[in-house]
Amino acid sequence: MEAVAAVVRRIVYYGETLCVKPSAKSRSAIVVINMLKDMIERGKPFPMPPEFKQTVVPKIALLIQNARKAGIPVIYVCDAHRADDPEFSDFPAGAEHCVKGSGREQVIDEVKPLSGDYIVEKRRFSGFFGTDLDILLSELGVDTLFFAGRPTNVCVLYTVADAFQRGYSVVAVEDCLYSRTKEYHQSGLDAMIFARKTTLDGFLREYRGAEK
Amino acid sequence: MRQALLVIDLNKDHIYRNKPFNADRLRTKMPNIVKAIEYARHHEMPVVHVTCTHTDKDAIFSTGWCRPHAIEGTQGADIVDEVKPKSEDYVVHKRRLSGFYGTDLDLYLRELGIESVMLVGGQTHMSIRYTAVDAYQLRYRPVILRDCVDSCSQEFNDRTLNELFFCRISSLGEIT
Repeated sequence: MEAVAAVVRRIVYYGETLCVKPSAKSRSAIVVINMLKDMIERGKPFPMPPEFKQTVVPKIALLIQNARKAGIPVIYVCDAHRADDPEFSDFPAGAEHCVKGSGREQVIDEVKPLSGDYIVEKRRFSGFFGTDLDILLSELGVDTLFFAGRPTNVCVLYTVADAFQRGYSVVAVEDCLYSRTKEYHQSGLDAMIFARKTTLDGFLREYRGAEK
Repeated sequence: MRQALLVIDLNKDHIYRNKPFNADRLRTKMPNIVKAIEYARHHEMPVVHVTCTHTDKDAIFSTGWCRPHAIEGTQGADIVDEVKPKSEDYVVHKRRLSGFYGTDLDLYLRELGIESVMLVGGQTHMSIRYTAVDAYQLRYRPVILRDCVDSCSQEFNDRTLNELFFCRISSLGEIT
């Protein structure tokens, strides 16, 4: 009986906490990671299957449009490397990509930033590493972050983990995230055990008033 | 290249009490971890114990993704006897996933002129992963000894190692 009670306690414990919805006081932002021309249109530094543009990009575009309508800040976190960035020789497929000033480090037209959006440039995996992302979020009074972009198991995961470590509530918008294989994508989601998971539709339901 | 050994998250709650993850697999790696520490001492590599020490109301527990563990001042937060730190070792207490977050680990390694870190301990998909990625981002060369780390499941362990393309994945056998 004691074992059963322990299991029930745990279900209640996890059940309560994993269903936490944003409170009236919470303020959200959308973090859109690495939607960049070099990566998506030129397959740098890793190959980019065409399905990404066909199936996921339209959803990310909808997420961003609806966030803007709901007054939720949209923050683009983007690789912007030095031409001699050591990352390019650090790992086997780490070819030159997204060099600042090349034009190829720009966000793709489909989800182009508008005035009022924010852009944070980074040189490492995590959007928090060596950037002003944490400062920006505190200035915006944000405590909850919805994540979109790619790759789920690298830059997204490490930014989500860093946000969690800094005390933000983190939410993965699953169908607005992408890795170049299903396994990598799922592995990234599985690794985010500290994140709440939702979908584009789930996000739209949470923010009534936003049009689909 | 000057190298330090990072011995990660081997406290009593983690290893003896399976908190917050099952440690059956990791416990089988303890003899290898002990050997890695002996190797480091023999080669005069600094040994740094990076260990969870949470406050009782630590914000990391607040969303309920894991059970409270390794609370400061409790026996569960003590490092297991098998790898008990020696007086010349350095101990870093962390409250988050990465050994670098909110700690002086980077300062300590810089002061010693360390360029590469060798990681052993657990769990591969949590503290090992996030400490390795921070080490890489800080420009230390991370090396993970695959026979000295593990996760609660083989799948988590193997997938994580497979995705750490910016780390060198080695083994005790390879380095000794």
